[in-house]
Amino acid sequence: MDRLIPVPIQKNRRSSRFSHALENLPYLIFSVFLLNGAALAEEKGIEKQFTLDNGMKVFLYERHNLPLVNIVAAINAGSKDETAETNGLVHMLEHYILFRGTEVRSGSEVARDIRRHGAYFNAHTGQDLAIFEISLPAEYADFGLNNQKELLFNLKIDPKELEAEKEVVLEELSQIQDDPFRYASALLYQNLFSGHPYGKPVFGKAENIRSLTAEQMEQFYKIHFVPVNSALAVVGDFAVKEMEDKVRACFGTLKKTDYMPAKFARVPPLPKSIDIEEALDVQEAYLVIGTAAPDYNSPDQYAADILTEVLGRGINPLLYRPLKANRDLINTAGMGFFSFKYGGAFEVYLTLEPRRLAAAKNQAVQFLRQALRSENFSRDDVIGDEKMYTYDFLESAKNQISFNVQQAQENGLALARSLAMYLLLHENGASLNYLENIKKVSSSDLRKAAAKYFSRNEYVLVAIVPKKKK
Amino acid sequence: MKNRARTALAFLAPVLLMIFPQGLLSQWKNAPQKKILENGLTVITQKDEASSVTVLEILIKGGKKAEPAGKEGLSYLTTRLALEIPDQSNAIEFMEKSSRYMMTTKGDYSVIHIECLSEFFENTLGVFIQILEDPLFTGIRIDRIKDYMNNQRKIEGDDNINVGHLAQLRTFLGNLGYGGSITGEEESLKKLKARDIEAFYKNYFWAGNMILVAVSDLDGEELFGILEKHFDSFPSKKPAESSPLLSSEKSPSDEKETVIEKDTKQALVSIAFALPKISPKNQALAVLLENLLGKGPGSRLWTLRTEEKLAYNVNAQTTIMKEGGILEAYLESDGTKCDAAKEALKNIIQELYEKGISSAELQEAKTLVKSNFLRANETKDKRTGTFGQFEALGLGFDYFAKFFGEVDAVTLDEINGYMKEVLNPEKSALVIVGPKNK
Repeated sequence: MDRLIPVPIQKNRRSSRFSHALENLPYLIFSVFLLNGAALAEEKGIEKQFTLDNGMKVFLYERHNLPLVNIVAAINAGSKDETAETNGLVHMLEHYILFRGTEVRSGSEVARDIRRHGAYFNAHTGQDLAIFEISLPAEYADFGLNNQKELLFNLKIDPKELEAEKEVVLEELSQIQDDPFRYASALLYQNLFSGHPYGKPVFGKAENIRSLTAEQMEQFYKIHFVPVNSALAVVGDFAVKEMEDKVRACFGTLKKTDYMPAKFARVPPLPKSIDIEEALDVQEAYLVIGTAAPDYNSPDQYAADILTEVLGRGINPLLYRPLKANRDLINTAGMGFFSFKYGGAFEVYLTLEPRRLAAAKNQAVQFLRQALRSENFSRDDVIGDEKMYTYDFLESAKNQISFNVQQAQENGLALARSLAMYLLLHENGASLNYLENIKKVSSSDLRKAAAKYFSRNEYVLVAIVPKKKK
Repeated sequence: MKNRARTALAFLAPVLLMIFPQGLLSQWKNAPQKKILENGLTVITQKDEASSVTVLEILIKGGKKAEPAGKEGLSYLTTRLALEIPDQSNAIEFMEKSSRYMMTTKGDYSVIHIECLSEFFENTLGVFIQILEDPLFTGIRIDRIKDYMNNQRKIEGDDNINVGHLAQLRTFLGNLGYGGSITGEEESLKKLKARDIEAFYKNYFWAGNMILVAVSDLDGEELFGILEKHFDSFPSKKPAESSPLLSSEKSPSDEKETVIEKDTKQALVSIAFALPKISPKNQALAVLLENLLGKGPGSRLWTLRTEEKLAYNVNAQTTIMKEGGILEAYLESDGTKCDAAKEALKNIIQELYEKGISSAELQEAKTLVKSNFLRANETKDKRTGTFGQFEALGLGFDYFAKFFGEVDAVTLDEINGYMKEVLNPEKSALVIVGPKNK
């Protein structure tokens, strides 16, 4: 059986911790290529999934396209697990773990070892999970495994080092606040998930960061950073049997603990739409529109993936019709669908001239709320000559998703990240056959999903507009 | 889909049994091939069965450097217009096959990037080539793309790093035509007329001036056959009636310190240097210097983050073009720390310039550069870009295979000598983008 696993990548466009790449080239169509479904096909002998005696879940996937090994460890700890007082702690912990050393090595020794072994090294914190990844030449796989184990399970927080890293994190907060789309997106999540643990800002607030103590962090760390609350995915150039032995020898020695992960309620519906405007020193206006979407294990995710493709991606995104072709209100449009364990979000990203903001907001929400649910998504929805001039959005989106799934198989680190997330977020019973489920979605299913998510839900609109000149 | 996925994965096992030739290409099963079509078009292909996807890049030599003075943005505008889908039936065809295409302009060439499921590649190419061979440069289309370019420039201007990068390019390479945004300026776009676009198209869009690069799971001969079939009708030479473009008389900025005030929380502090003319050896040296200076934990700039606590984002970035290049070292720091950031950045570069590096540091940089190169070229879309870039810059597509050898061959004396040549503080330029120093 081919097994295709839908896994969302939760980070925003700029997820690199180390560099701010100069890649914002003005491509034809602004498109946020956030892959919402990475795929993995099962082939006997080249993949293995198992659980260590201490409860750590493991997925090994052998592929030999390049002599690299990608090791991703995920911890079931995110901003959802913080309190109002400790908000920002997981992200702070992520920084400390990566850069400030362990009981065995200092931060600079870790950094030096990383370079010496030709490794790429990064981490991400989200609402659900904290993810730690390393990619390195296959000959250094042992170093990679041991490095991950030491960093994640052998931490000692030095208050002096903590204070130093706080300064770095505060710089990161400032960087986000200077980036119009990232800032708008952060505000959107805080409002869309308001009242739910997901509503806390993932990166925390400056005052919280400053007041975090080593004791608070160690207490949190000892509870959550345990094998039974974690997962490991290894993808790359190795033999599965040999890698299984290495993983068991490395991580199998960690003690089992009686950890019971907390359960959370589903994200409640937004009672009323929210309209936010923030002024930055920008020339263009940036508008992000969000509404609730299916969660990670929802059967609606397939229709949601297709709607996302139809609305905001490819050569002719449907959003262009009401916003660009008919009224020339916007300059670029893109769309993302982000699913979490207890909820989800659709995000529409628009850039536009500031003077067109009010009209664009009205037009976009009106279209999503009212017109989308009666759209002809497929050529089969029309008859006669009309078939010749009708775009088959449904077929196009299915092809686009097939392409995404194929392309996802080329990137070992992204695959490993998706697998680690899958191990912690997937619930028994949820379907695994991603592409088969995509194929089954009909135009009628899309209209139902549009009615359920876009017509009945309320919206959060966040606009970043130019500051008024003095 | 099931069968394709299984086939792609099943393919992996025999790869291990292959005996590879020496060099970097041993990392990939199939070496790229280069052929020249009868009309002079250079075609580079590589078979890669990691996915059922085909990526094609079309490089049109010329690029930003070829734009006459005062007509900045012409290369981008022409290339973008050459991709305009002329009618609804073509749009439907493209859309339903979910073929993606993108474009950009670089210093020495424009790039059209097409990617699709391989089963749709021939069909996609058939539609695409009709558009590219016979573009419509009408007033409405020209105005619409100009509007788009003006908006893109505003978006670029909302990113301090991009603003700083453009300022550094203008300082060092403005005289060569590489300075400024690829989308030109509002004033230069106003001056561009249909006749300019037609002249640019005729001067540069001919087979002998173009390079095709394709990476695909399709069989090599089949892939080459498809490309030959669709591109052999491209004119082999520049049309005789094409009017020559005016030569570029461009003046560089001679500013050694540029401050661009913006009301942001952070300030970008950037110091840049000119790089020596591109060559196989210099390319390896430039990448090594970029790496040891500012790529990731343990690099020289990393201490500005971990020890000086001045920034979250530190980086070193090379931009290499055929007739020149720059190395930028930068950090983004709170506006109140701008002076401290500037001094700390200067000190790090000064130390490198004066003392050089040890053999251990060189070895670490070599290891990281090589594994970064593998990661950066793992996917077909990135690798296609790298083959094309090397070929267009004159290094040759086969530099890809030689890269590890070039990196390994760099000696300690060479890298330290290179740093003495490049990192001379007297020849640096400082750019600050951000709030007034508080």
